[in-house]
Amino acid sequence: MSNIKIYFSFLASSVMSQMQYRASIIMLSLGQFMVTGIEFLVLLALFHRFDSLLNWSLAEVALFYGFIHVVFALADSLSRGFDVMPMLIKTGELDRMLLRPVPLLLQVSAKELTIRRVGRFFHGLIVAIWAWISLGIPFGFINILLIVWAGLSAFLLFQAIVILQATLCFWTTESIELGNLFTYGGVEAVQFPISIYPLAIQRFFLFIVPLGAVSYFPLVHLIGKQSVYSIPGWSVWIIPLTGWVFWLLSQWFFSLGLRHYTSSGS
Amino acid sequence: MNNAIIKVENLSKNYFVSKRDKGMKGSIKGLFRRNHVLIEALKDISFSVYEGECIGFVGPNGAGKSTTLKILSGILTPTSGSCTILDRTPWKQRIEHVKHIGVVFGQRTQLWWDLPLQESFDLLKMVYSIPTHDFQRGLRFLIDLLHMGPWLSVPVRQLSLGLRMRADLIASLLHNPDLLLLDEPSIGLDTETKCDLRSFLKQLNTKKGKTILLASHDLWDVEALCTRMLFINHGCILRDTTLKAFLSEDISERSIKLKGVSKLTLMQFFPSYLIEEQGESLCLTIDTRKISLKEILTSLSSMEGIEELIIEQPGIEEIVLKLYKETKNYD
Amino acid sequence: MIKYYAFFLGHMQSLLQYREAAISGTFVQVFFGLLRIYLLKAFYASSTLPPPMPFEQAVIYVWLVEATLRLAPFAPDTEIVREIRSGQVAYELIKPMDLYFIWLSRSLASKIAPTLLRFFPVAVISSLFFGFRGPSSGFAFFSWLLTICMAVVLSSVITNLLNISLLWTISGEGISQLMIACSYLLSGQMIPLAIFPDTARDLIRYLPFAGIIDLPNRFYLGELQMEHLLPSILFQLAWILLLWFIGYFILRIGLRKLVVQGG
Repeated sequence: MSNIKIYFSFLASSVMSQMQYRASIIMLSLGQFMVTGIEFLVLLALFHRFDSLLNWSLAEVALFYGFIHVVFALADSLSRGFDVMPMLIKTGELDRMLLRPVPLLLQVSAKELTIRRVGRFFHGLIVAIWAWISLGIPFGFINILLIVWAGLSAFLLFQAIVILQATLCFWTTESIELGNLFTYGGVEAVQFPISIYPLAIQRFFLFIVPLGAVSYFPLVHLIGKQSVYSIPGWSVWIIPLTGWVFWLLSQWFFSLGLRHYTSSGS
Repeated sequence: MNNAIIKVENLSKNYFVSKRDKGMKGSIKGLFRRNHVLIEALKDISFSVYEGECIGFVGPNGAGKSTTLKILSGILTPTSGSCTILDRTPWKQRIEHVKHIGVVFGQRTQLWWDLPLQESFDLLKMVYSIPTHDFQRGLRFLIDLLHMGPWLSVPVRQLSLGLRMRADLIASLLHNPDLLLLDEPSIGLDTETKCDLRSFLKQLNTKKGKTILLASHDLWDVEALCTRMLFINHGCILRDTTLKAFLSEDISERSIKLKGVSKLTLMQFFPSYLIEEQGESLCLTIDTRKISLKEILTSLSSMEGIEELIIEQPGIEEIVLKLYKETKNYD
Repeated sequence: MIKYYAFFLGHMQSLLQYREAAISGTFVQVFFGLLRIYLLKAFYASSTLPPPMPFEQAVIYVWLVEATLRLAPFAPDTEIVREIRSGQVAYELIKPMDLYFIWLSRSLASKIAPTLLRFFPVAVISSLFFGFRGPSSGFAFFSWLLTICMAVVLSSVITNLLNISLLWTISGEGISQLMIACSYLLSGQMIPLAIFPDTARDLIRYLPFAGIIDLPNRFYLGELQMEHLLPSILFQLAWILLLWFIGYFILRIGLRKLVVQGG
């Protein structure tokens, strides 16, 4: 329990220290909001020109779009510690974290809540809410629960990718940018229903980096559309567990990396 | 009889440092052929530290001081050997262990850079689960003692080195640890701050009974604070003695400073000795293995006009320097 | 002149070292290019309305975008950002025109070097597996090359505007972010400009950003012919000169403000 308290306190103090540069943060957040907003303009242009995306309407696609951007914005704003892992090691800050009676993973993930990345959050939220209303999805408790459950899973999946990439720093000194491919690439791919892609890409985002699974099935269920893959209705609640599995795996991998780090010396 | 707080037995630490070519080609080559160099940072060292002691940990750079401190802190695992601190193995029970020690690494701060000092302390209160009453009382005491009152609302990044060091000391003591590990705490500090620090640490040790392990290049700090010295070089502990014994180390060189005689006269009496001019005085360096002080003084007493005569004992710096030289080529 | 050339070469050399980044960058760009192509393919497949360009051409367009990604204004120059933040800029007692050209040389190098490193890997991989094809004619190739060269200068001038806007720390950050996003959208890098609604597309093509990516691409694809070459070059040139002058004057104002404020 106290660890959770510590997590949120660290984040709170990170927010406070950023607020010293209030004007800059507001400007950058607004900027991010508009930058991500421009991507939606492209979507609108495409639908205007082409009428439909296979059998998906604009509102349906918008739901996928908004969903993944909301989730990614949150995950992105909380992944700064892992992004700067090589620097933490080099400056010895990681060692100083190890001197505190708090698990290392918690400290790294609580290092910063990057406010400006939240610009994307609001953009995604607006789009998602618009889509939700346009599609006439009822605001029932079960529906809200499902989308939150799916969103949490996607969030954990993003975190897992970032943690895995950061863990590699325990072995190599140079940071490997591959993780960015999966996070940004994942967002790029999964912001549309994955059924529009050829099978190879579908399979990749269903089984290897299951961002597709975690978004497609719950959202298709909410929209009430016929899914490309026939799966029983209740599995919609099970599939998001993959996010949790990945997250737990990444934690285990991180502890492995930490053990290597403490025995090989810095 | 005091308890042994730290028990180190046959501790060894080896690293492999890989020599690798730069760039992608080097990285790929590195996957296939490992060009590793073995570094023996610690070779089978053993020592114990008892409750209430203040130990000076001395040695040149690369001797193994930092490695030892890191192992004692629990952030490094040794290759072999055992270490028990307060009945715990540091690296195996890191989180519990760290709750009972205070660590200050001289050059780097434990505090939050952008936040006001008070915030850092408040965060640490939470991190160490310090009861509010104890925290406030302890903090007040430390702040008063180190005169940090006016700086509580200042962001850590704006503090000078001296102030930051004091703040780091406070931070390391908030949770009232019984053992304090200090690595070069007075590096870069001005004389006055060093003095304040010294008296503060002395108080902690003598009045509050805290056990202190001080690794330092500043031998005056060691001399002023420590009751025992560990001299380490090339990963081995070469001296583990009380400070008193260390200072009476057999050094045969003595310097005699004279005022009032001319260099010529002195050279007549002591033709084969090194005589240097130091300002207004002359410095005569003798080797007590070759000639006893008694003989020197007898000769000098027959000289006329000596205004001042000082016989200098070798200080801790000379003794340590001698040790450095002697042990330079051990391996 | 020689001084600027030296700056340019120096920066080129330091940027050309980033070979590993170029290799990993190639994979990233191929991946993103593929995603974009599959998206377009899905749209093309289901559309009942006539498409603005044949699908195969859209594919080539997307690969050209990925191969020349670094030509467009990407981000402000980190070195210049540092100089401004540290106030070092105020200490450079040189004429504004000098500073402008020094920064421009850096911009040019920062466009050319990464593109040289990344163009061929991306082009080769995409042509082997993913539908990239050569230019439709000799003229297409020649005109593409020519407009690309102009595009580099145009893009550098725009990037310089980004750098200069950072002299106003807070608003500058927002403005440069916005400009980069606009450039990304309006140059045709997100989707071919042809896909935008007709009126919007025509308007966008008057803006300088279109001259960086969309214009050369259209020559490459053979959409634009001989009679369009001269007007296009003049279009690019006009924007280059206009933005150059604007940039220079804003730089003067910005430097004066710095001196007044004391850095």
